[in-house]
Formats: sequence, structure tokens, C-alpha cells
Amino acid sequence: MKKKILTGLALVCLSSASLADPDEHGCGWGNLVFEGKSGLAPYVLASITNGTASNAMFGMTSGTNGCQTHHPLPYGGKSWFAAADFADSIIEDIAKGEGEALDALAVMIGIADEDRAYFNQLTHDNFNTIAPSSEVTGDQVMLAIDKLLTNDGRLAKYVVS
Amino acid sequence: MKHNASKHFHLFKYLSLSILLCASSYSLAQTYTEQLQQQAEDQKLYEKPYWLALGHYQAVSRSNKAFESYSDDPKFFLSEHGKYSPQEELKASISAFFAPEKTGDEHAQCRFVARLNWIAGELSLDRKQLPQPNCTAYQIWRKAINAETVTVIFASHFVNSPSSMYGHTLLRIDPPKSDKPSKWLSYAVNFGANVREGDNSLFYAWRGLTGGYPGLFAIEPYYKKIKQYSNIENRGLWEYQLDLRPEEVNKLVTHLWELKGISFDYFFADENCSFRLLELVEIARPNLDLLSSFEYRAIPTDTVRVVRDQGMINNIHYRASHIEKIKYITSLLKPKQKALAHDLSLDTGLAEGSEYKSASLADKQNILYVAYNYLRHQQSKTARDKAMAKRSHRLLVEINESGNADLSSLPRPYNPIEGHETMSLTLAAGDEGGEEFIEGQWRMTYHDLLDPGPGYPLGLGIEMLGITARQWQSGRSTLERLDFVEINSFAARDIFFKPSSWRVNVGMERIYSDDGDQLAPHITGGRGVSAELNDNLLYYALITGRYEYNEMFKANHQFGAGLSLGLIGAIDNFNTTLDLTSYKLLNGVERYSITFGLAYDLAKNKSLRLMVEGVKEGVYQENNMKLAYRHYF
Repeated sequence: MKKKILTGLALVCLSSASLADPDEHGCGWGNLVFEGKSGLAPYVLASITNGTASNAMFGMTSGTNGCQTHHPLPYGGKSWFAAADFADSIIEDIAKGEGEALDALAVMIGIADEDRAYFNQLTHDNFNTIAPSSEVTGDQVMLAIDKLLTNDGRLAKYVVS
Repeated sequence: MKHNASKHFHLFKYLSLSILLCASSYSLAQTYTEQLQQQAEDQKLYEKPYWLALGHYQAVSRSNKAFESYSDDPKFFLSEHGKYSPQEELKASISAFFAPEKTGDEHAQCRFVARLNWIAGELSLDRKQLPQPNCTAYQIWRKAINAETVTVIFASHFVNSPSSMYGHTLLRIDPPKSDKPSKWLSYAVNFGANVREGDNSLFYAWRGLTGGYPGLFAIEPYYKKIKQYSNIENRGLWEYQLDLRPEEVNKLVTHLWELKGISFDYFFADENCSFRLLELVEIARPNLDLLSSFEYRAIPTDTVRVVRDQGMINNIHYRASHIEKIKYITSLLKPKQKALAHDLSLDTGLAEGSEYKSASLADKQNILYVAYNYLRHQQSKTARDKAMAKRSHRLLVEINESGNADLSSLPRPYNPIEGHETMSLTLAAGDEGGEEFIEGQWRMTYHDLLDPGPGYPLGLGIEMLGITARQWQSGRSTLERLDFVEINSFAARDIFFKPSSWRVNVGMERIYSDDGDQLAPHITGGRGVSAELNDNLLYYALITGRYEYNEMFKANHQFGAGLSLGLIGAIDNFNTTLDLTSYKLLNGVERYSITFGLAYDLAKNKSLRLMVEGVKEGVYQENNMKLAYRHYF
């Protein structure tokens, strides 16, 4: 039985896919960390239609997402520079000293449990180097974290291959 | 020379041998294919529920075994009759699995992994006889997904956006716990209409109703969903972890791959996100029957309830929205500090002022939290502003020095699937203008302002399709109301947030006047503001507009405007509303009404309500009162 009843229940979980502009994903595009509505355009558009704001679809397979690759790639073969995509949340967590965005970054870098607290503290103490101004971009945040880890005796092992 | 000839001879021998080998293995495979196809026919494999589930077939008619797939995408079928014939599709699938392997990722074995696994199991297929294509894309994808558990995500109602008032569901696929994963990086599976950027939402709603949109599955990191729902739309996310075992999750993920880029019919009412996600859960655990209760509608909370009723929910986690957190921290501040937090978001220099400096550390943390997050919330709604960005950065530097507010006691709202059920039946007895009546009402969905509050936000009412009929003392029966849609959305304004409130009602209502009574189609809407007296009491003021078609009027089509004022309250098991409405139509008819409602929740799915109303139109005036029992199911 075909059950196409136009019940007027019109507005159940509208959702949409493939709304984003192709440059929305990942690194190398210099997304500003303190962004306004325009930086959220795909999300805002999706919020009108209650849907998905991404053209990613099934596209999480693309290796390094075009990000820098001189690092080890512990997390599903992807460069942790892809975390530039949520650098806004990362610097908030760095300011707070902890949080899920910072945890996600640590997982992407491959930082072991015993080094997590140290990683959180190190980034927290260096907030002003990581996010020196309101015009900082996601990539600059990632590069600053990279530099910080590279120069740190305990954490360098995670970024130097 | 001789040496060379013998070499050629060897080469020839080798070549012919290999051609012979190839040919024989080809014919052998062909026979094996046919043998399997015969075996599948004999076993009537194509009638098995799991095969029908893999092809997303629905029975068009049970008696003559006619089927149709929900997918209308030719890419999803290996037989040209696949959409309508599970039998042909099964046969074509077996042939395709034995096709030469040169196509790699495009090979049927790579594209339809779940089909192959199931058929191989059912027919005890000897996999060594299959061609061995390189399914590189699939392998990489599986490695990235790394799934062990599945969580159903319910994005709760979004006040003020009609397109999302019922909420939305998606799935999240999580890696093994032993990997110490981050939920932010888990993958979310979303089913939705494939909307293009230029489409406007009205067009979208229409095409969604009539089936003009193809629906697609999308997979993306969960943090994108958090950003969209928690931070931008301000909807809390409920996460219900399912008890699926790894091998069941494996089935789900394997089938998900088959749905990559495959379009489906998309209907808001039933074949929507919630319905499709339940299909995936049925793929994971074949003996479940989750879908049969959704003949006409699939409301997100109901679909989660079905999963709960199967005892499949292991664990529940709630992720509060951005605004909830801001409101919670704001509630910890004294009135002066609230004002300071607000001003600080506009002038970060106040961080040097004595009022801020003299606050305790915990108060400073709270003030900074509110100021910073409020500022980010503002910025998310306007074009990027350099000065705003500068203030955001400055406040973040302060947070870096002072530490973050303590959110550990953030209260968790009532689990929405534990709220009352969404359909209701009401029986009432009452008196109108001195005549007694009994009244029955059926409502398809969902919640009104007097229904039991737990699990539903205060000030939000959405009802679709309600019929109210009366039997009068005199013996007359009347249709009192036919409501297609009634939405009340009252969101309180405060120093930080300034949402508007609105209501809309489309349907027919019986109008009583001196000239008799008349069932009149109408569209009534209003927009205005509301505010909170305290956590349990909202008040509102709306400017309203109305269109009415009334055959008692000389000119049947009438437009009008007016005003509504009211109160909405909820304390313990009691809900109450008081509404004063007046409007004037262009033909001079003026109507006034005062309506009081009081409801008491007897149990989760049972409530009592008392309605008292006084109406006045010109010289006509009457009072009515009724007592009702409402059952939710």
C-alpha cells in the first residue's frame, strides 16, 4: 500500500544535504576564527531548512583533505591540520584549559592519555601565541600549535616524523 | 635461430594454454553463476524480508506479491526492472558479482557489499570462485568509519522555526571505546532532502509534501552537527546509544555504503529522516519490526520511542545548546551582574572597571562566560564585524586568565521521549449558552499549551489535524472545529535574547451569533512579544490578522485585525492559559473573547481540563464551559 497521505504533517524534520560551498571544508583557505554570519553561511542556510550543511556527503575518504602532510597521520590517515575547520572551538577550549574540541584535536594528533593534561596546559599557557589577535585564521592557529609542539621536549614526538 | 624458434614455440604454448584456461574458468564461473541463481530461485530468496530490506522494497499489494522500492535511483538497481522486481534484482546481482573484475570500485562486489555478504551466506557461496576486484574506495571508507556502536541523535525542537518544530533525528557511528575516541570526530549519518542553495523554503515545503525532492544520505563529522544544532540553531541534542553489537553495526555500515549517492522518495510526513534511519536499524538487526507502526506519519520522537520499546537504548546523554548554557549561567548572576555582562559584551573596557574588578572569581567567570558567549551568539547572526571580533578576542583573553564558568550543575531537561504520546482523543461534557452538550475530539498530533509539559518546551504548541464534534441536548450534532494546523510559539524575551512570538491557526470553526451559527473557514495569525514573569509563567501580547469565509455575511470573504493578550503557566501537574482576544472585520463585525483553561495531568498520558469561555459579537453574548478528559496514545 502506497502511503502518501498529505496529512498536513508537513514540517516533520525537514532536512537538506549538500548546501555548502566547496571551499568550506578544511584547511588552506584561511577561515577566520572569529567569524560572523558569512563564515557560517552554510549552517545558517541549513538552519532555515533544518538540514545538513555540508557537501561532504560520503567524502570523508579524501586522505589529507589537502592539508599539510609532513606529520604522522595517526587519525584515519588524515592530517590534523583539518581541525582548522573547528579552530574557533579549539581556541575557546584552549582559553578554558579543556573541552571537547581540544580533545578532538588531541585525538587527531594522536596524543596519548598520559600526555593529554600536559597538552591542555601547554596550549592554555600559550594562548596568546596561538591566538594573538582577533584576525587570526584557522590555519595560523594550527601552525602555531604545530610550532609549539615541535619545540616542546615532551610533545615533539607527535609532530616530527 | 633454432633456439629462438623453440622460444617462440614455448610462448605460443603458454599463450594458448592461458587462453584455454581463461575460457574454461569463464565457462565454469558462468555455470556456477547459473547454479547460484537457480538455488536462489528454489529457495525464494527474493521473498526474504532481509532482501526486501536491502532493496528498500515496500509491498504495494500483499496478495499478488507486488513490490516497489522506495529508491527511484537507477544506480541502486542492477536489473532494469529492479525497482519493481526484487526477484529480477537478486538474479542480476548474482550475475554482476561474477562480472570481470577490471572495473574495480565500480564492480558490483565493491558497490553492494551488504548484498554480497547476505547472498553469500544464504547460498553458501564459494567466495574463491568470485572475481577479486580491488575495492579500494570502500576499504579506505571502512577504515575511516571504524564503527563499533551506533547512537540515535534527536535534535530537539527549535522554537520559532516551523520547519523544525518536531525535531530531527540522525545516527552517529562511534569507534570502539578502546580507541579512546572523540565524539566530535564520530560520523553522523543524516537523511534529508537534497536542497539546492537557490531554493526558497516555501518551494521546499511544497515539493517536500508532494514528493518533488530526492532524499539522500549524507555522512559528515559530528562536530559539524554540534556547530549547526547546538551553537547556531540552539537546539539541545539528545544522544541515545543503541545496544547494537559490533557485528550488527557492521551490517548497518556495510549497507550504508550501498546508499552512497542513492536518492529516495522524500516525504515530510512519513518517508522522512526518521523513517529511513529506522530502516537502517532494521538492517542491523534483521528480526526487528520497527516500521509497521508508521503507516502515515513518522514523528522523530515517536521513532525514538519505538527503539526504546524494543529495549535497545543503553545509555542517554544530553548535549545542551549554546543558549541553554548562557541562560543557566545568567540565572546564577545578580541583576546588576547581568547588566554588567551585557555591557561588557559591548565594551570590554569595563573589565578594568571597579564593578568587575571587585567581583569574586566565580562571579567574574560567570560574567565573562555570558559576555563572551552572548557576543558570539550575536555575531553568528550578523555579517562579520571587526570590532566585534576584537571584543570577542579580548574576552577570550580574559577567560584564559580567569578560568571558565562552572557548568557542572547545568540541569538536564526532561527526556523528550518520556513526554506524553503524540496522538490524542478527548471526551468533554459542557454547556454553551444554556444548552448542554457532549463533545469528542481527535487530534493527530502533537502538543498544545495545556497538555502535560514534561518533555515539551513551555510556550510551544503544535497541532496538526484535529476534528471536534458535538452532540447537543436538543439532539442536533455539529462539527465544531476542523483544525489543519495550529501553532503557538511563545519565546520569552530578556536582556540578552529578543525572539518574537507568534501563533497561526488554519481550519474551520463554528461561529455563534444572533443570526444562528455557521462553520467558517479561516486563517488567523498573530505576531508579538512575550516575557517571563518567572520560570513557570509567560505573558504575551500579539497583533493579529484574520481572514474568514462566512456565509452569514453579505460579503462572504472578510479580513480583519485585532489584538491578543494572555498568560501561560505551568506548575507541577497543572497547566493554565488565559487569553483575551478581540478583532474587527472589515464589514464592521467585532468579536471579543476571554478564554481560561486549566489542566491537570493525571498521568503521563491522561489529563483533565476545564475550559471556560465568554464570547461577544455585537449584541450577542454567551458563556460556555466544559470539562474534558484527554487520553494520549
